Amino acid sequence: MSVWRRFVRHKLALVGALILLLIIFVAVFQNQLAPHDPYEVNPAFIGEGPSWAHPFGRDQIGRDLLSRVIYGTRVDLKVGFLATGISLVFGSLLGTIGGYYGRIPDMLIMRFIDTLMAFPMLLLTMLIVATLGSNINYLLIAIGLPLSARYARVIRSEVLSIREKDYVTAARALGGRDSGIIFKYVLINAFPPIIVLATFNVAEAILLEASLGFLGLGIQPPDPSWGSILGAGRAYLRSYPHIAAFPGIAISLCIFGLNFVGEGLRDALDPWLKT
Amino acid sequence: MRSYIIKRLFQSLIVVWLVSIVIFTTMHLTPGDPVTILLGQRDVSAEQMDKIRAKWGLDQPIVKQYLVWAGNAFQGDFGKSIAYNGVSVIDLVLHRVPNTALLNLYAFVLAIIIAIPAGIFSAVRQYSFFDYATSGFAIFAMSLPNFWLGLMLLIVFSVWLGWLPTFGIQSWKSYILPCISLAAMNAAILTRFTRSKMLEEQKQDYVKTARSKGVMEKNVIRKHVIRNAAIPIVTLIGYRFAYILSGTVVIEMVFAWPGVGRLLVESIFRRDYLVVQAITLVAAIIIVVVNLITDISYTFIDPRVHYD
Amino acid sequence: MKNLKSIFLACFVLCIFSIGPGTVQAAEDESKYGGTYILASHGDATYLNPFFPGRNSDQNIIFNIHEPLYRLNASYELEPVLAEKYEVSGRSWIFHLKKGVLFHDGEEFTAEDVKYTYEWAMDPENGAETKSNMSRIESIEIIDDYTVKITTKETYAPFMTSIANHRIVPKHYHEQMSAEEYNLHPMGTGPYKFKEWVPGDHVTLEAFADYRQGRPYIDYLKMVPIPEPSATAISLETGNIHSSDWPLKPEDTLRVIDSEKFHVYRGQSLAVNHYLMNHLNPFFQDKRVRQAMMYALSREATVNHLMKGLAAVAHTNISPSLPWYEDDVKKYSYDPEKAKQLLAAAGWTPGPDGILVNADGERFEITCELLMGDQLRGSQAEMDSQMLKQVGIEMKLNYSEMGVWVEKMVSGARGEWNYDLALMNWTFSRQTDPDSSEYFTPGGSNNWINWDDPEMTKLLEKGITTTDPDKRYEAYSQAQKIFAEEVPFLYIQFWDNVHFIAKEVKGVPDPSTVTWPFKPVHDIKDYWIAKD
Repeated sequence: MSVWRRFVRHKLALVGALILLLIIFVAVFQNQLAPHDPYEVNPAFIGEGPSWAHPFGRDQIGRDLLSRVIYGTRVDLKVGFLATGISLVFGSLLGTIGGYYGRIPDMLIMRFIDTLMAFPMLLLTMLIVATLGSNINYLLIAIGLPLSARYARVIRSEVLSIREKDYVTAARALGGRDSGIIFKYVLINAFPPIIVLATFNVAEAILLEASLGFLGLGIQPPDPSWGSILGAGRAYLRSYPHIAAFPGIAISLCIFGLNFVGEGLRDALDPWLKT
Repeated sequence: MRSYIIKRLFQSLIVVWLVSIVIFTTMHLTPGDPVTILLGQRDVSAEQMDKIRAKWGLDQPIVKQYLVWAGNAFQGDFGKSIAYNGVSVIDLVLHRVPNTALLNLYAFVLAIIIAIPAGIFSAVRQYSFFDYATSGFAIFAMSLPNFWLGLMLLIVFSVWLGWLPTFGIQSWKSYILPCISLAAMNAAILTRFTRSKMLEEQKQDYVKTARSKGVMEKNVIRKHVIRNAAIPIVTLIGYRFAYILSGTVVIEMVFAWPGVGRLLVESIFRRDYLVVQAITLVAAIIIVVVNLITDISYTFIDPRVHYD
Repeated sequence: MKNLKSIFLACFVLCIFSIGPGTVQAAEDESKYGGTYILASHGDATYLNPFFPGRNSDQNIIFNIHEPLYRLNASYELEPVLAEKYEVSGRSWIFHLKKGVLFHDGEEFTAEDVKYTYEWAMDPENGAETKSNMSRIESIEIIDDYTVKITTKETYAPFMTSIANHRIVPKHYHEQMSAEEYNLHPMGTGPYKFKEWVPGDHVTLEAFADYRQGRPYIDYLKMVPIPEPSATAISLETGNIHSSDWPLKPEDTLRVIDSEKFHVYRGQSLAVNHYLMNHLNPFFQDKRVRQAMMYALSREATVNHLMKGLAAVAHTNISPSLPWYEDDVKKYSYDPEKAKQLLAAAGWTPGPDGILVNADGERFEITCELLMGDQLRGSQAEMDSQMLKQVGIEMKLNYSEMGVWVEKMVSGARGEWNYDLALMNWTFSRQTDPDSSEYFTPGGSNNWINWDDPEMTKLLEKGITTTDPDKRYEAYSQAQKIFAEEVPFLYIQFWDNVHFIAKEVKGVPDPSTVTWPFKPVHDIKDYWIAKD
C-alpha cells in the first residue's frame, strides 16, 4: 500500500511506467500494430525516407522500417527480461549458497564473482558471443552470465545479515529445513534491492544487445532487433540516416522507461531514503 | 587492518590469475584460428599452414600454451601479434593507450565540470527553473545510448554542417564529438547523483545545527554539505573510471578512433589471441586495483567502516 | 607612384627573362613538389612485404616501395619496370635488367636480387603467399649482373603475369633479417621509401630522392585505415582524404560522382559476384536445379536497385571487359515459371508450406553463408532468398565471423560438406589471364565447390599449356560455354569498381582511358598536388 503510494507519487516513475507499458503493448500486439510485413523486401524503394504510408521510411532493402522496429520490440524485451531473469536466478543461487554455507563454497563462489566483475561487461559479452555464436539463446547467456555477479553479491550479503537474525534461528530451532528457511525469509527480505537492480539490468541488457548489434555481433538479419537495425543503418548513415535514427529513439525511450521505473521502485521500496 | 589489506591483496591476485585463465580458454575455444583468417583465402598448402601455426606455438597443447603465455606475461612480455605479423603486443597497445586515455580523460573532465556545479546548484536551488531544466536534460541524456548519440552528432555536425572531422585523430577538433558522446551519460548520472547526495546531506542534523547557530548559508553548503557529499561522488567517479573500456569500445568504432577499444574489437574478430589477452588482462587488473583502492581507502576515510 | 612604376618594370624584365622554355618549365616543376597524399584504406596494414601481398591495403604500400621486372599498368598491359626487355623461347625466359637502378639504401639492383627473391618465394620453408606464382619455375640462372635466365617446368602461357605479380627485394638487406623484421622495415627500388608505420593509425612513405625517373612530386603518401565505409564516404566528401582504396556503397558512390570534386575512375571488376555452390550437396547434383535457380533470380533487380546500376549482369565466370570473354553462351533471364518447370522436371513438387519436396520427402532448404557485417551482400542475399522462395526454395542465411566463414569454404576444397551456398566476389582468372584451373579442376587448391567436369578440365589444361593466343581463346571460349550450361555456381553480376582522386591532384591518368579496376595510388609517382 505505502510502497504503491510512494511509487505513484514519483512523477517520473509514473511516466516511465506508462512508456514501459506502451512498449510492452507494442510487443504483445505486434501483428495487429505493424502496418506491413517486416520481412517483405521491395528493391524498388530502397532507403525511401519517411512518408504517410511508411512513417519511419524504408530500410536498405526496401522493408517498412516502422514494422521492423515494432517487431524488434518483442525481440529486445525478450533479450532484456530473459537475460535479466537468467542472471537473477543464477546469481541468486550462487549468492544464497555462498552466503548460507560459508567457508569453501563461499570462497569459491566469491572468487568466481570477483572474476566476472573484473571484466568490462561488454568485453565479456563479446567474447562469449564470439565463442558460442550469435543465436538469440547464446546471446541471452552472454548477457545474463556477466550480470549475475551483481545479484550474487546482493543476495549473499543479505543472506549473511539475515542468517544471524532471530527469526531465522527461531525457525531453525522449530525444525525448519535449511532450504525452506532460506527461501521463506532470506529471499523475501532480499526482494526489494533485487527488484530494483533487475529493473536497471533490463535496461542494461537492452543496451548491450544494441551495442552488440551495432558491432554486427547481435541478432543476425533478416530477424529484426533494435540493435541489428541500428547496426545495418550505421553503414547507410550518409545516404539513409533515418535507418539508424528510429531504432535509436526506440532504445532511448525504453531505457528511459526502465530507468525511471527503477528509480521509482528504489525510492518506494527503500524506507531509509525517505525523510 | 593490516591483515585485512593483505587478505584483499591476496584475493586480488587470485582474481587476476582466474581472469587470465578465463580469457585464455574463451579465446582458444572460439572457432576460427588466426592463421586461417590470415592465409585461408590464398593458395597455401596444409603443410605451410602447419608451419606457420608452429611458428606461433599454436600447435602446442593448450595447457602448455597457457603456461608459456602466463609466464611471459608475468615478466611483462605479452608476445607478438599474429595479425600484424610480428609487431610486439606491448608496442601495439602502448601506441594506442594515449589516444584512449586522453579521449576518456577529456570526457571525464567535461562530465565533471558540467555535472558537479550543475548538481550542486540544482540541490541548492531545489525546485527552481534551473533545477527542473538540469534534471530534464540529465534524464534525457541518461537514456541515450552513447554510440547512437555519437552517430547522430556525426550526421549533424560532420555530414550536414561539415564543421567537424569524421574519423580518427586529425586535430583537436577530432576530440569534440567522441568526447561529448562519452561524457553525456556520465555527466547525467553524476549530476543526478550529486544533487541527491547534496539534498541528503542538507537534511542531516549537523547541517540543521549549523544553520540554527547562524552560520551563513554559503558557508554551510561549502564547508559541510559539499565536503560530506564528496566522498560518495568521488567513489562513483572512480567506479565509472574503472569500467571506461566498456564505454569507449563502441565509441571508438563509431569514430574510427585509433584507440585500445578498437584494437580490441578488431583483434577479437581476427582472433589475434595475444592482443586480446593482453588488453583484457590489463583492463581486469585496472578494475581489480581500483576496487582494492576503493575498499582500502574506505577504511581510512570512514571510521564507521570496519572489516574483520 | 615611382615605386609602382619600378615594380611594373621589374615584372616586365622578369617576364622577358623567363620566356625561355626551360626556365618556365623549371619554375612550374618546382611548384609541383610537396604535399601529402592521404589515402583511406579499408583495413590496417598487416604485412609490408612483397612475399605476402594479398591484402588491398598492403598493396598500396608494397607496390610503391618495391618494383617488379614487368608490371601490368592501369590498362592492364605489360610494361617493363626493372627489366629492359625479355626474350622467350619455349621454356626459357631471358630478362635483360635495367642498369643503375638503386635501392633506397644506395646499393645497386642486380640479377642477384632477382634470383634471390624468386628463390625465396619458391622455398616452401618460407611459406610465401606468392609461392604459387613461382611454382612453375625449374631453375634460375645468373648470366651476368644484368641478365637472368629462367627455365619453366613446362611451356606456361601465363608466366609473364606471374612475373608482374612478384616484386623484388634487396638480397643484401632481406637476407639479414627475419620476415617479421622485414615487414616493419621494408626496402626496395620504388619511387617511395618507407618512413613509419604506427599500427592502427597510419603508414607513411616518403619520396625517394634518387629514384631513377627523378624524385616523385608528392613528398609523402600517408595511408590511414578507416574501417567504416560510410565514414570513408563522408571523409571524401568533406575533403579529409584524397582517395580510398575500397569501393563505397553504390548510393555513396553516386553522390560522390555528382559532387564533381573528384576524378572518377570507373572500371568493371574482374571478380564475379556469385553464390558459391557446394556440389557435395545432393540437391545441386541435377543440372536442371542449378539452371532453375539461375532463372529464379532477378539479377536485373539486383543490378538496378541494389547496385544502382553500378554493375552488369554476369553471363560467364569471365568479365566482359576481358578479351577472353565469350558472349555466345546460354543466358538466363528472370523467368520464375521456367524455374518452376525445371524444378518439377527434376522431381521437386510443392509441399504443404509452398516449399518444394523431393521424392524422399526432403524439403528444399539450403543455407547461405555470409560474413558478419557484410552489409551489401547481406542485403543481396536477403533479396534473393525472397525470390527463391517464390519458386519454392528456402534459402536461410547464416552469418559468421571471418575465421569461421573462411574455414567452411576452405574445407570444401578438402572434400568436406560444411556449407551449401556462400555469397562472395572472386576473380576466376589470373588477373587478365583467363586461367581458372585451380578453381574448377578436381584437386585444384581453390576448388571449394568440388567441381568435376572432365571436358572442362581438359579445356582448362589446354589453355595453360598452349601459347598460341588463338588456340587459347578457343579453349577458354569452349570452357565458358560449358560453364554457362552447367552452372558450377550461381553467377550474378560484375560490380563496377569506382575510384576517386580529388581534383586538386594533377598528373593522374585520364579517366576516359581507364576501363579496368583502378588502384588510386599505384601510379602516385606521376601525381602532384596543386596548391591554391
